[in-house]
Amino acid sequence: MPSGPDFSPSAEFLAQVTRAQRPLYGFISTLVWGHADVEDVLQETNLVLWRKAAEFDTSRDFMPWALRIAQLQSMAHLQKHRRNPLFNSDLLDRIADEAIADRATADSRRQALALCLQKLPQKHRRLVAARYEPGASVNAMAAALGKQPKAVSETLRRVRRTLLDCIERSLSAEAAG
Amino acid sequence: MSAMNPPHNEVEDLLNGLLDKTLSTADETRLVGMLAASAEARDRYRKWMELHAALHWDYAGAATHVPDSKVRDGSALSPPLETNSIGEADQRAFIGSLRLARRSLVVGGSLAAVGLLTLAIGWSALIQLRLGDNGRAASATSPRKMDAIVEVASLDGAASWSDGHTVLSDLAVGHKLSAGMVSLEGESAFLTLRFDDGTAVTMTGESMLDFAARWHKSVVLRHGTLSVDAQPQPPGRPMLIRTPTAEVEIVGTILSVTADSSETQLGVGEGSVRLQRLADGQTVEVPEHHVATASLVTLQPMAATRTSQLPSRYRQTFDGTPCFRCRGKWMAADDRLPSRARAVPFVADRGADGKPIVHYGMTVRDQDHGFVALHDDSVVAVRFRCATPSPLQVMIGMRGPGGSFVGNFEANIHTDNVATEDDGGDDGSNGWRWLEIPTCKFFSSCKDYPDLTPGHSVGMLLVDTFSVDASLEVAEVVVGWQAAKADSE
Repeated sequence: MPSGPDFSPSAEFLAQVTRAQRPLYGFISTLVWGHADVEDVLQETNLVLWRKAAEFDTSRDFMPWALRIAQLQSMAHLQKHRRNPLFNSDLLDRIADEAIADRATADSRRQALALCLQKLPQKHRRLVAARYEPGASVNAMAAALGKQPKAVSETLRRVRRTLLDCIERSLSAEAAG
Repeated sequence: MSAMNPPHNEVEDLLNGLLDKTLSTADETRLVGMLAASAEARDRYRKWMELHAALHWDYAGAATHVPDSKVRDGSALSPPLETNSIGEADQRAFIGSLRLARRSLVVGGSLAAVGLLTLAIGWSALIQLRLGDNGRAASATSPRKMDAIVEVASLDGAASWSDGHTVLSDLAVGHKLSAGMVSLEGESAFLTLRFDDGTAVTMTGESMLDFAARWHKSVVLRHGTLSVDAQPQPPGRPMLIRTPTAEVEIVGTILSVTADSSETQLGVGEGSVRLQRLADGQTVEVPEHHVATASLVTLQPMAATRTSQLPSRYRQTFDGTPCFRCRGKWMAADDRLPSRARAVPFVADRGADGKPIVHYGMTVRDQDHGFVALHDDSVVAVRFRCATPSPLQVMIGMRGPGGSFVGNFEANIHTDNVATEDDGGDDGSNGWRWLEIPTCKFFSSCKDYPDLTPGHSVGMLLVDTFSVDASLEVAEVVVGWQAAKADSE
């Protein structure tokens, strides 16, 4: 919380925080499982970023700093809620370190995804939309369709694999071009 | 690859199961072992999780609504095997049955306190990101007509729409929009979306709204204030408004909802509404002329209370705790100067080139459903000073039954036209001026809301110097009967 009644934030800082929302969400997703938990951690991260706004050295790169804060918040959330108990802190640290090192590629992958999604057949785009509708679950989809969750999940696996392959091809083409 | 690397398909099966929550504990243990042992497995894990996150964050809406015409011939992607593919008709059937789920506001509690500016800048940045992402078509130049479910019926301020794939940054009246997210910028901004059946949803101030109408109308208010004038909805298919803390079920009514990440306030003008607190699932029926609040705190049972009679007089002297939704830099009194609020920059609109138009002002908001009733002979009075002469705008945002939005009204003057007080100081005055404006001098900011109706209440009061940073400071705001200042002293 900003101290005192002065709530005029630095516009530059706010723009950085806002611009970081999507990458932060992606990063937290690699550490915390579950959409609602990820959003909670993102919210907690935003609060910490806000509290530490005055400490941020504007000559430094914002994202690594923000990602480290998100990492700490993720760990705190997992400990508090005892989620992902199988993940130990060493493994989480390694995953976080590798994700931070790879963040430029992660941005490129997100951009490539937009085009790859357009290339999917409409029925698969609808499937993706249904799966990622707020509150949706494979079990609910399966129940509505009269199919087994495994069957629905298997179809989704193929769609995801298709998207990931497309993303890799896009990045390779970009690198070659 | 090294012998440590697990079989590709096994990792992929486990990752897919993780995303779809079909893994057993044993499977999870196996996956964790693989991740601990293999950098390649972790790399694959990261890519799958990031894809999952990106689809959650950005692309669910787009996936439904991307037109086939955008897919180049011969470049369409299909998964290699289709044996278990799900039929299109089946998908349509169940898409409609899905309900909105819990969604937290990504900009949290204390950010919400400054959220107005945050969201304005944030949305601007998001649009810039989009432009940067694709380097071209991200800033759409025409509204989306495919699958349109709402039309922009009125707009004052800058509004953007996105379906997660395309951004339309210059919304205008008449645009037809498919499901997506609308962001409204501008302290005094408002935007009305009208569904086919005439149901109108009006956003006011800095607000973000997701909307859809697959099986039933559904709206997710991420942040801000919303008024709804709902037509009777089909049996069994109520309109739903979701906020970070509550769900509102509407059959047909007039109401308003204000939400941030920790609290939702509901006011009902006509009809009856069911409000559910998401934290514990408790519900309460809110009849007309009643208000109710749902927050993250579940200690108290939910209750609807009758809307209290609003006072006919309101006075703000900035010497207390800054009100939650007020805007401005609150400054404590010292030997020479009273408590006051200094104007801060805010996005008032966007120019044709998409650049924000920044105004300098301060805003008073109190009760979300209005804080003072207005009468024929009410006066709005402001004690202010500026470092440099400047045009001055005083705007009041009006609320009708249930807190519903009923228009913005403004009065414009020049600071030089307001006499300086003689406060007896060494220099004769600290530059303070006292301005009184009878409500009859206010004019409507929008033809859709032409009349300032006595009995309606003020929900927002804005004082600004347009694009001039004149170091405006406001020491007192009074809304009340004539001769407000004399009464206040």
